[in-house]
Amino acid sequence: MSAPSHAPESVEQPEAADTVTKAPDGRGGSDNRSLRQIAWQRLRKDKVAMISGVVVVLLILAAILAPLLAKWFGHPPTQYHQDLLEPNTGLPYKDPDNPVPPGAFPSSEYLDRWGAISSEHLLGVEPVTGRDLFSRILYGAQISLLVAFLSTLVCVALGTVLGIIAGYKGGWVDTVISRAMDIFLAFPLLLFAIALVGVIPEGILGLTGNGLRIGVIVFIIGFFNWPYIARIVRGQTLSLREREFVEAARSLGASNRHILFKEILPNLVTPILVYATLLIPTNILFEAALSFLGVGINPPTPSWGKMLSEAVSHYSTAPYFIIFPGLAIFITVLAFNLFGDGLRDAFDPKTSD
Amino acid sequence: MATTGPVVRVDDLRVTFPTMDGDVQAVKGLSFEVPAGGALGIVGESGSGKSVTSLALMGLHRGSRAKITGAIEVAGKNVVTASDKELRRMRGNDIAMVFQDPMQSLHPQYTIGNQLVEAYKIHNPKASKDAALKKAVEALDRVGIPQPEKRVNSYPHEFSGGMRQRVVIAMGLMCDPKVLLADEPTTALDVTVQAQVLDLLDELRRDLGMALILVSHDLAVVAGSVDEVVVMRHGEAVERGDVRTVLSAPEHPYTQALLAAVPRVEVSRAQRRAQDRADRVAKAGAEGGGTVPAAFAPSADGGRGEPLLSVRDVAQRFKVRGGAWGRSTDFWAVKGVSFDLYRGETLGVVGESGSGKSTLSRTVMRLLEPTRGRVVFDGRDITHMKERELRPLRRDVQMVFQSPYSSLNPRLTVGDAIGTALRVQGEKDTRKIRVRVQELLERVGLEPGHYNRFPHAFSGGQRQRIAIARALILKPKLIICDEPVSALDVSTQDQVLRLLSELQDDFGLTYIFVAHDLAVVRQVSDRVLVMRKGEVVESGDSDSVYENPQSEYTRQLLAAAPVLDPDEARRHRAEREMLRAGRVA
Repeated sequence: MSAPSHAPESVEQPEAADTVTKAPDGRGGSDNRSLRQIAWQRLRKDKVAMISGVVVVLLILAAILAPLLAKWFGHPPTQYHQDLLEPNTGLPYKDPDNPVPPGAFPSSEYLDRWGAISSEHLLGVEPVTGRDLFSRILYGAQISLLVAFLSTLVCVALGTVLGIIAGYKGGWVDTVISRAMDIFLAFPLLLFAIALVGVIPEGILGLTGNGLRIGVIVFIIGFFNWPYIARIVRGQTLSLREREFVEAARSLGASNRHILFKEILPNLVTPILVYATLLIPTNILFEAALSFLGVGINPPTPSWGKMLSEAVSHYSTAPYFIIFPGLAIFITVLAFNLFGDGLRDAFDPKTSD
Repeated sequence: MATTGPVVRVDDLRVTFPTMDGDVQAVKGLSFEVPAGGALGIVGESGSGKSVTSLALMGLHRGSRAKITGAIEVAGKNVVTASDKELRRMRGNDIAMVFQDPMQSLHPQYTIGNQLVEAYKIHNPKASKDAALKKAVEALDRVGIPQPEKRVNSYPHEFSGGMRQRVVIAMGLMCDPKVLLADEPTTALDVTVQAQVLDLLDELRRDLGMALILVSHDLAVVAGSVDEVVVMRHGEAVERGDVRTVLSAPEHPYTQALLAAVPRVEVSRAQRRAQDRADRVAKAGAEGGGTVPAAFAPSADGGRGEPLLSVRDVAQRFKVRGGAWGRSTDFWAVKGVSFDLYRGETLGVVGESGSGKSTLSRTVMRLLEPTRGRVVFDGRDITHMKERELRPLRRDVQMVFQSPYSSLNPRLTVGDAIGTALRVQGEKDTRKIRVRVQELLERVGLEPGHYNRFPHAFSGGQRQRIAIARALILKPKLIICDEPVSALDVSTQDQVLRLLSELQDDFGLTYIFVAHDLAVVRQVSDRVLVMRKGEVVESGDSDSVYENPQSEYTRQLLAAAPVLDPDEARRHRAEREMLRAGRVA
């Protein structure tokens, strides 16, 4: 056999070749971090995301601990404090011990435009009823977040399952699901919600009162917003399906179920998580809008949207009544949005640092 | 303009990128000069800093966070300190750039005429539209676009990849630059097209007196086109000198190793295998370790017995959607291919993009169902077998994919990725799976302790090793390698090829090796199929195909293959020019 033509160099090739590869292979280093750990490290450096994350956690804690907090700092949300109000206007006194003298005009000399904020009532009391605003906002957070989380859950569940099936199966299945998405997105959601709340009979599925109302709202929001998630999941699945690791799994003899749930789904967790975080504030706003229009939660259970709609008629005499629930919605929505943005940046390999 | 001095001068260039984990020095003190009309090659593997250098030459680092020190002078202007306006005047006028991917460097919404005219009018705002258009037609003619008056009104998508790269070059020529900077101009192109584009660049340099800076990862690409070469590694020039000297008598061990790793089309399978085995024995001896297992000897030609795989007249049709009403047209990616594959041998399938070689491998793998023909594996007809029936057979045929980035699931640890195979084939014992996976990781040259790492922590070469381990774990009889090394650097490529060859010796594997690189295919294959447009144009014993090609197409491919020897590369170029001239006449 003739000597190979590159024999002279090859004598010391093993060592030489090793030094050659140190460059690309050096990256192996001690990098044992998963993508999620890397994202977490990035997230920790993002001040805005961290602050909004803390706000989100505090809000959730406040909602869960609402009964305790109300007990420590205020009063039950449905307890009337009419002794604090001037009976004719329904507005709180500046000083309950100094009521409007009989025959005098109830002017700002005696009444407080800012709700008689005191150590007893941290955000003052409602006009007309005199209920403690602080505890009502706390309890309102319960409803808002509960509805937002449940409806987002419904969106994610429906959207993920239908999106992944449409993306992976393709063909007529994809056509049917995609057209369904278009139809759901074209639906006049608000009108439908108002109509539905009116016709659903009490006691359906064993739900009554507020349970039923929450159920209906969650159903409406979840059922009509899933296409947003489904579209994202479908698009991602379409591109993941063509990746070689899916072909590799098939050539190992993996079943469709294995490919969908073990290979493709883990890659979808991040976009779903990010989008769900951004969907929550939308759903909070939607719940507020429904309550504002009077198709949300039944009084006297507090809800931010309901409070806003009640406050509208008092906006000139008791501006605090519209400001505090409004701020609560604003801060919650902003915190979730900023946190969602931060999550997306942290998981996105394209953003640097 | 100083005609005597160098047109490009780079002195002690340093480029630093601040990152989360501290500063990264991409270029560390690089110096070179290019005389007017000269040609310089910058060669390095990925991460060597060659692309950063070419961007810095164009002043394209502005607006990024890169910090640049040192001097860059292009046609007498200092690029580091020039104002943005001066830089804009310089780009296109003094130095023009040709990028890697012609699919992305042209705007899809404008005709190429528009884009060429715009390139001209930026620097000659007073020029009339007609004059600019005339210039554009001239430039297109210069780069060899047929019927330039007509084609000037075409959109980029109406051109093939090679033609698009010509258009990009024509755009560079619009303002008669003094330097043409080509960053990997042929990496995205087929061999024959690559040869044409390199020939064109060489011709333009000679005719127009432009200086050429050719940046590439492939020594063989620059060999025939430049006078001087800089070999870069980790941002430093390890060697710089006349191309003939560097390629024939490299001084730096890195250049030597790089040259040794370049697959050569003149080295036969037998030579390469003997060399690999000898190296392995030498290495085992040096380490004083265990004995090298006896090479698996394929049975002599007479006693081949039954073929492991028999493919008869296989054709694969895709429906291409067209028209508003979803009417589809048929596209035959593979048209009637037949071959037999015997145990222990390697069949090379070589062809350019669109030749159907990847479709063929997926059809044989039964990831696709053949439209026509028959595939018999190990005595069983698998042509139309159902997925469920195929599942137990899957363990016998495995595949190694092209892209080490897309073939591993980023969300699975490598242990899981490799272990999946055992799991889907019914193994339940996690401990057993773990032990087996770690054995294999060690076998393919990786740390068994890296079991729990995610793919992103590995380099391209390491990922390809992981993919090979995944293919091996089911102890397959046949492994189909679809361009397994085309995404890798030369030195990594060499190591992966060695690994494949060792594994073939150890486990008696049969390979189908699909690639576009003629040299790589020759070194690993016993027999070769040359494919073009879905058909086999030539097949046979690899040495005879390479040394005595029967078909015109194979001859063209071989003439286009880049060679390392600068003089031979120039001889090949002359041959090609003669061939072309002959065809035109």
